[in-house]
Amino acid sequence: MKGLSSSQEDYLEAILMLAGEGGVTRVSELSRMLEVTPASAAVAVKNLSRAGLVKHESYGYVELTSGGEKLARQLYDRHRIMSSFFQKVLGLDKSLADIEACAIEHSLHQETFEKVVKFFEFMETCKEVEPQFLVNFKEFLDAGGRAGKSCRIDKKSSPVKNLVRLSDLSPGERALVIRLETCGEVRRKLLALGLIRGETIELIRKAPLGDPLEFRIKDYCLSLRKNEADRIFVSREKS
Amino acid sequence: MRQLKIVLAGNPNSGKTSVFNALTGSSQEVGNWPGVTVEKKVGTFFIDGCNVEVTDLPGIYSLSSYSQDEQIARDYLLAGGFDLAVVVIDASNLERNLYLAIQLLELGIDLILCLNMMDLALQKGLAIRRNTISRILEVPVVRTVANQSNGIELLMREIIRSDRKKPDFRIDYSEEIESMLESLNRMHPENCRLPARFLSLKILEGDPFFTCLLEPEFKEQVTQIAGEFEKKYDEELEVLIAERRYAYIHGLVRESVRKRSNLRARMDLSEKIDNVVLNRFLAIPIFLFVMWLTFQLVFALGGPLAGFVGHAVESIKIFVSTRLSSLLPKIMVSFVCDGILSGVGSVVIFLPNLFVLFLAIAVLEDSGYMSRSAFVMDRFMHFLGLHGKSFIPLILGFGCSIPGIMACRTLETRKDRVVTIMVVPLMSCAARLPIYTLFASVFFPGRAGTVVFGLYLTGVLLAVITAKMFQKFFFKEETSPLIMELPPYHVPYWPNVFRYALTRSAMFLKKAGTIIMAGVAVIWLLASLPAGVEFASQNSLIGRLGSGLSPLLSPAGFGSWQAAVSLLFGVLAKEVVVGTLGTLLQAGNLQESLRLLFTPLSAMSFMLMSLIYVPCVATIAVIRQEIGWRWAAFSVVYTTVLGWLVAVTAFQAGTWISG
Repeated sequence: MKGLSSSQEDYLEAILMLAGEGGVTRVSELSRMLEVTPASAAVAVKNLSRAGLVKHESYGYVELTSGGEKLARQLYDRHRIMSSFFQKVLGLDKSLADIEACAIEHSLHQETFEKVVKFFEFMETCKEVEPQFLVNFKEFLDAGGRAGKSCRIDKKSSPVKNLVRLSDLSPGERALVIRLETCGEVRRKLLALGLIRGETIELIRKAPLGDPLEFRIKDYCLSLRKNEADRIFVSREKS
Repeated sequence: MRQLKIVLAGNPNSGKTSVFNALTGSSQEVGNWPGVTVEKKVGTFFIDGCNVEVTDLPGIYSLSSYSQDEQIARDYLLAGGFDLAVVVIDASNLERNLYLAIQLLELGIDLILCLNMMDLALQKGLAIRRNTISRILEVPVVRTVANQSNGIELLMREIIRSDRKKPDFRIDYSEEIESMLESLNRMHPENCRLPARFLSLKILEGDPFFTCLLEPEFKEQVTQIAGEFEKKYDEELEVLIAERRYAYIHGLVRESVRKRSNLRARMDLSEKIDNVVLNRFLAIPIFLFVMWLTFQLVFALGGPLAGFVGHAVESIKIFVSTRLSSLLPKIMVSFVCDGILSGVGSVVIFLPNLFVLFLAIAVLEDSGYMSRSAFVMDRFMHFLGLHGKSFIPLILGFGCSIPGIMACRTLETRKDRVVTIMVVPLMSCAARLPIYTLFASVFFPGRAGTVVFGLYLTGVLLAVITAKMFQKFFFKEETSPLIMELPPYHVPYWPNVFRYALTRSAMFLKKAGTIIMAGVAVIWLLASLPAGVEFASQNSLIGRLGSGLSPLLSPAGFGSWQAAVSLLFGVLAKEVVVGTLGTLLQAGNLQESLRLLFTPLSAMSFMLMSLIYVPCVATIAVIRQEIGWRWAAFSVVYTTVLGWLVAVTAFQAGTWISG
């Protein structure tokens, strides 16, 4: 990434966003997006083109070269990840998070950035149980920064052992419903059918071709596709 | 005389249809809800000087809508144009069934709980105290076994009782939610007839159908209030409210039901059956066997009956024509026989097959196997973007497209229905077989079997492509999930089965019949005009139409007017193609004259065309009946274009390879 100024990086990202995959954009669109004069946009594009990152003919379309696109994509990912880090961990709202991401993304060392990404990945994978410290931190913020009030323990944040996806059960295994990560109509229907927290559910069998699955819940049998069962989290019952 | 209007609501598989049949007997009318193909059943009964009109709603699990049927049921219940709702409840599966009842109580409508299938509840060892439920919920509760007509008279008397007191039902949803409900009640839209508390609850649940009723500025406010709550407790209101309702129900059931745990007979029997029927290795063979059996029944049992009907129509035709020929001019006789009687004939000829099909479907549905078959085939059909239940219509399509399309009624979402219906005609039906047999035996002797099999395969292949394509272009975002109950097996209740088959057949006669008749009449007119021309000769209108069309068909290798006319007649019914060719070629030896008109290659492309082009007039009529004119018209255009393209491609490719 050496040799590129932060504003040049901004240009690359903007071209990627405007042009999309393999598409093209114009200098005028760029200047509008980045809120600069068309003239300075034209200069910047010319510089990028000299560096072999974009293709541009005067008054024509601007297009990323394959090298340019790769670089732009890296930068864009970096921006996205930083922004969601600010939103999800620090609880900033989206617009502020974006501004901060813009400011910080150009000046991070590769190593620092990778660590942030790793941390974030870790957060995502252990999302089933939101880390207690994060819950506490949120409450701490909600309580106006007063420590001590952040120790509420409820069913959800209390550690639930053996949390797995409903589709991970093997036939004959029973579990308690903990959480639905579906939305909209599917969720409404599942709730109406009695898939509520604490309800016992048992995988009876899989269909001969592996999907869908048949469950027993309350006093009846229900079949769901793996796809739906994947989004239902349960806790295995001790046998 | 006192008039009452009541509505039956309840979960699917709660025995609602049995209750409806037991209440109304034979005084039923089956139609469609306006604008959609969801069935609407209305019946009446008369007791103690009171006339009661009963509307049966599609089965629903809650007031949050999902499929088209469910929306209709919800809208009807919310509109409130009835005096009383009877909520039918499967007593052997109380908790889930009560969820709907609770929501209806919250809606504040007058209702009676009908605990149906009491016999099964007893078998399961459940002793349900009716009075306790009635006291707690403050509603009348009646126990029935509808398919033995047990308790039905009690239910009727309860329905016409006039001294019912308005229930005042509420669940306490914890302090914070209650205070949110309070503030929401103040935003209640003036022109909304729904009870404020009910609407507020639905809005807190976040059901978009209800939030849309709010004024925009309130909507924002609600989002904010609910958002704050959810953030504060890290819980979702929708989940909390559902949990509260189920907790209430759980308490209610604990108060009113005693369980003798040693009895789980019915469930056990179902389980045992399923251990075999849904066994990993046996499930698919069993399913295919059931399909084969259905197919056999529909065509082996229905076939001779259809033949009998066909003969009857033929003899009536001969009888009438000999009687009339001395009385009326020739053209009138032809109109009566070839026009009207043939028209009637081509409608009633389907009835035997359809009746048997409807019997079979009713048995499959009533016994509980239908949802198992969907369970078994879903993975495979999901690959095509369809629902497991779509498999049965497609299989039936190999026999005849009409029953195949009618069988699509069992599909729940419109997308599944439309796509399956559009694909069914590509399954090569039995009526196309005579065409293949004739051409294959003349032009491909010795390899006829392979050729015909190839044609069937081509049909299936095109069906797969079509299904995929239609999903992509017409129904981009609707992937319907599978959330399906597998009800316990039970022996089909025959009166229900026969009533189902009878009403469906009658509906076919009434709706599709008129169009099939019209189609036949049009073809007759084309074949006999202008006056005095020989029936279907080159000088008749249809002959001229055929001559006009033939240049279009010559790229496919069969540019003769006879071929074009026979294809036009094939719209009546595909097997007519063969008969028409016979008449037009005026040949003692059809094989010889066919060899003059076709080469093996053009015979092949002609067979492909016959496979794909326009479904017969009866199929078009049924498509219209099921999903409307537009799709019917589209199907005609689509299949014609596709058939032409495939035929031309095959012929041109063949010419290129051999030349």
